[in-house]
Amino acid sequence: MMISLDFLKKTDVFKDMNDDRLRAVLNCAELVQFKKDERIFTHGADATHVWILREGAVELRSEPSGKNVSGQVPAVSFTSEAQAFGWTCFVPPYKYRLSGYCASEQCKVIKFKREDLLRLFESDKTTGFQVMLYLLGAVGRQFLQLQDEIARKRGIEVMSRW
Amino acid sequence: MAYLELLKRVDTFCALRDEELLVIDGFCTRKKFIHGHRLFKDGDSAAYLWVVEDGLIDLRFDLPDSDTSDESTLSSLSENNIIGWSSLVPPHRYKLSAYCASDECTVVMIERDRLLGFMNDNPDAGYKVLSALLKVIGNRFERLRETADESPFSPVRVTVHMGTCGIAAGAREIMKALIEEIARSGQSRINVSAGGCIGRCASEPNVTVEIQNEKPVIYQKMDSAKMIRVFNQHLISGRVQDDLMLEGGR
Repeated sequence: MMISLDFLKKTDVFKDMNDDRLRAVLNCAELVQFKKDERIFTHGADATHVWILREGAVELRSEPSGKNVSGQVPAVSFTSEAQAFGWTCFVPPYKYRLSGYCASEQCKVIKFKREDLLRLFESDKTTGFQVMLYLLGAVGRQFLQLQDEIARKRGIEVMSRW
Repeated sequence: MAYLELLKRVDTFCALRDEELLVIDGFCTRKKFIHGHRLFKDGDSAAYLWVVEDGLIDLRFDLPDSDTSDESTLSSLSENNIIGWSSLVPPHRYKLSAYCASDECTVVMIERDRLLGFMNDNPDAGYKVLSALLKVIGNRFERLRETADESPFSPVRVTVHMGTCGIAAGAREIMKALIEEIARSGQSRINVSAGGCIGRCASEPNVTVEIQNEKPVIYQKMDSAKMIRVFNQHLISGRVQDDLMLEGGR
């Protein structure tokens, strides 16, 4: 199965780019295949790639190494095509915050090497700016969710003292 | 050019060239607040990105039918830090409320629409700003995760008294040394806040240490080196530093 420009246009992150820019993005892409329960990347490992689901299902699981940390994002199943994950490769400390597993009989995933994308962004700042703006929204939403969760928990503690 | 030097000190903007910074300079307005005043409210339409120029800003969650207090502070930000970054992404609303936590604060407000317009028209500058901002947010995210289980009633509280007299005597340097030492040590159970003058101006800068189930200790005539000593000896090892003490303890 090839990766087409039309497929990239379905993704939230690349949907507003013109064909020339999409072709440049495509040059950084590689299609890989996994079998059920195979691990795609590991929670806590260096985040070296961004991933987009092409076919099948991927489940993201929180697996901190023997440590129960509040605010972990619960497991999320990706059942539809064109969803992207692994954006933490652009955000300190550049580690995966979840593990990714193939959750269907097989799945096909497009992987983009972080370094290749950074090189592309440096050579075409318009693409870089568009991706960073998308990323600010995606990472920002996770940040605000965690902030809300902590505020709710602490608010209950404060009010219980009244 | 009123804001050029400040913008150069801010992580989010420091990679820009002078001519780019001068454009952003034109989107800026300076504003002063006094202790307890609110800069913006949770849920307000976020028309500005803010830079702390001077003082300390608390980001707090609001509680129903209650005045704001330190107990609802999720994070405190000092000079050269950005607040209100949610102004740049939909739905362009502030999350949390921001309050002036020192005697006075000076902040610079950057018009969101003009900044976004400039970045759209100058993607080279936009890429640099957003890449740097993502690093700032990533680092804050990690700190927030580390403190997720922290109680608002931390077992250790340190108050640096930052009244005008305290600041004149060097309280700001002490606050900076303390925050850096906490970051270096990885301690997440120490709650730091800025307090007002305690009426002992002759002994400023003063610092109060409160450890759960112990009498508070007020230290006097502090400086950065003494603060680091108190951090290591008292906060970490539990040994009150008698020779620096103004009152309290035992």
